[in-house]
Amino acid sequence: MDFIIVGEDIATREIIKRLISQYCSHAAILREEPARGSEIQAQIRRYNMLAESYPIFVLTDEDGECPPNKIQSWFGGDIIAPQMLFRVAVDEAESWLLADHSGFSNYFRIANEEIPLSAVRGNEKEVSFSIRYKTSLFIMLELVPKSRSASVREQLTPRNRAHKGPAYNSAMVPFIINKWNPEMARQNSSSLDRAIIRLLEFCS
Amino acid sequence: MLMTKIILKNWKNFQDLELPFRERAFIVGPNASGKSNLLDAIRFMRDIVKQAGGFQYAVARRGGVAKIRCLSARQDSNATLEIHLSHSFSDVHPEWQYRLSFRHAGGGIRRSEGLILEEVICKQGEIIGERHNTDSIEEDDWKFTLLEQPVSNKKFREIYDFFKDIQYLHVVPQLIREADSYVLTSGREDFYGRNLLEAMAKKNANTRESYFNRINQFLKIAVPQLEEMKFVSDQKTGIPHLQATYKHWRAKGAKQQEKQFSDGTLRLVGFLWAILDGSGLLLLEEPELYLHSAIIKQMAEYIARFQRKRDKSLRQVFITTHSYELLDNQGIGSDELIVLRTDSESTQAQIGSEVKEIRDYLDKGFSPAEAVIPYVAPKQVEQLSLLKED
Repeated sequence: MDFIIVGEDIATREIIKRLISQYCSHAAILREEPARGSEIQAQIRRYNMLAESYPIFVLTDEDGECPPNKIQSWFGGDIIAPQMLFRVAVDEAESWLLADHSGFSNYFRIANEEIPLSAVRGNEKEVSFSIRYKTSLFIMLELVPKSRSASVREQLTPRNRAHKGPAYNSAMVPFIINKWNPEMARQNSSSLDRAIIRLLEFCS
Repeated sequence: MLMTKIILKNWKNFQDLELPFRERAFIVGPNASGKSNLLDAIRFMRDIVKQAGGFQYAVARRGGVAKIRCLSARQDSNATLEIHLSHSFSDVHPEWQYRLSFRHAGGGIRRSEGLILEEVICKQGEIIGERHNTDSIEEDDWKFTLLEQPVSNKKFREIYDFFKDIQYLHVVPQLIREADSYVLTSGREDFYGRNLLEAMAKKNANTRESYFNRINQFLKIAVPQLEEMKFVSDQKTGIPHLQATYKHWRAKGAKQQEKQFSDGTLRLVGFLWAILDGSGLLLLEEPELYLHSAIIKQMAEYIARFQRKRDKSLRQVFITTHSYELLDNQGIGSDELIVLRTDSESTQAQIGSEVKEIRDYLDKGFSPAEAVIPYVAPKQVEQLSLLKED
C-alpha cells in the first residue's frame, strides 16, 4: 500500500509520515502534496475522487472550524471515499507534538511545567489553551523564550511579522522523526488517538 | 517538419530512451536528471550540420565521446542517437529517420575523436542511405557523417535543413550585460549572452521592427514603467544595443541600455524574440528564470499562440522547466509532458500520458503542475531539515 500524503506544510507531512511508519509500517509513501501550500481546501474534492484509486492521508488544522463542519464545507456533501483518511488535528497539527509532553520538554529544553497538559476542551482530554494563539504560535511565542537552548530560541523565534521562526522546519522535523512519541502523545490528545485508531483499522 | 521521436542509447543520463514528441514538450525532472542533456542531444545534431560544425566538432565541443556516453554504460559503449521527422503527428511511417552510432577513437598521442559505427537514413520507412563500420575501422571516412557533407546529403537535405534551423535559447543576462562576454561567446551560434543582440542585428530591419512591436506590446504590460524597447546600433562602433525608455518623472523619460536592464527584462526580451523569430524547432532552457510568477503563468499559452506560423506551419517548442506556474495551465496535454526520474543506473523518461499516476491526477481535474511536480520531487527532501550546521 502506497499512500499519497497531503499536509499544509513540511512539519504536518512529517507527522503523517511518522504515523504511517509507526502504525502502518508495511506502507510506503507514493507522493507528498500539495505541490504548493494552501491548496488543500481547493483540491480536497479532487483528492477524494483520487482516493477511489489511491490511499490518501490528509492532515489539516482546525482553523476555528469544528471537524464535522469542516468536512461539510470542504467536501460539499460528497461521500468520503473509503481510502480517504481525512483527519483534523485539534487546533493545529503541532498540538499533537506538544501532547508528547516529556518528549517535547526534553527535546526543546523547556521545563515540563511550562507545557500545558490536558486542559479541558469539552469533555475531551486535549491539550488546549486559553490563549489567543494557535498552537504553533504559542510554542514560538510563549514556550520557546523559556527554552534553555540558545539554538532553539534562535531557530524558533519569529522575526518581525513572520509567522514562523527562521528555521522552523529544521527545528521541528528532527524532533518529529527521531524523538516524538505518538504513543505518549495520544494519551493527551484524543484527536491524535482517533487518528491512530483509524490508521490502524485502515492498514489492517 | 516536426520532430516526432527521439531514441537515445548510452547517451549521457539515458541508457535507453525512446520518446515521442508533440507540439510542445515540457521536460520536468529533479536536478541533474538530464533535462538539459535531452535538449543537448538535439543540439548535437544541430552542431553536426551547422556552419563550421560537423560530427567531430559536435563531439569535441562536449568534451569527447567519453563525456557523451552514458556513465552506466558497460559493455555496450557505443552512443546512439536516432531522430524521426514527419510532416504530421499521425504519419504511420516517419518521413525521415536518421540514426547515428559512434564510439571513441584515438587516444594516446593521437587526438581523441569520435568514430562512426553506423549511419542510417530512411525515408518513409525505406533505407535510402546506410553505412556500417562493422570492424570499427579507424579511417577518415568514418569521422564525418554523410549528413554534414553537401555532396553526400543531397538525397536527404530536408533532414539537414531541419537540424540547421533548430534554435536554442538560454539567455544568461550577466553575459549580455558584460562587455567582456563578447569574447567568451563569439563564434557560438547559440543564444548565449551577447549573441541575442547579434541575432537581432542580423535580422532584416523591417522584420526586426515588427518583432519589436510585438515585444513592446508584451513588455508594456509585464514591465511597469517601461515605455518602449528599441534596437539601436552604436553609430561609431556599430555594436548593437537594446535601448529602453522608461516613464519617469522626467518629461522625456529616461533611456537605458542593456547594461542597466534587470535580469528579468533581458530574459523576457530573449524569450519573446525566440518565440517570434525563426520557424525551426525551438529549445528553451528554463524560460521561467528571473521572471515574476504572474508572467510565467502566461508562458505556456503564449507559446501555443505563437507556435503557429503565418504559413500555418507548426513550430515545435521544447522546454525544460522546474516551474509550478509554467505547468499550472490546463491547456497542456498529457502527451506534452515529459517526466524524468532517476534510479541508481540512469534516468527514465516517460510521456505524461503513459504514466498511470499522472493520468489519474489529470482525469480528476488536477492541473499538470499538481500532477507532475510531486511525481518528480526528490525523495526524502525533508532530510534537508536534518543537516547539521557544523
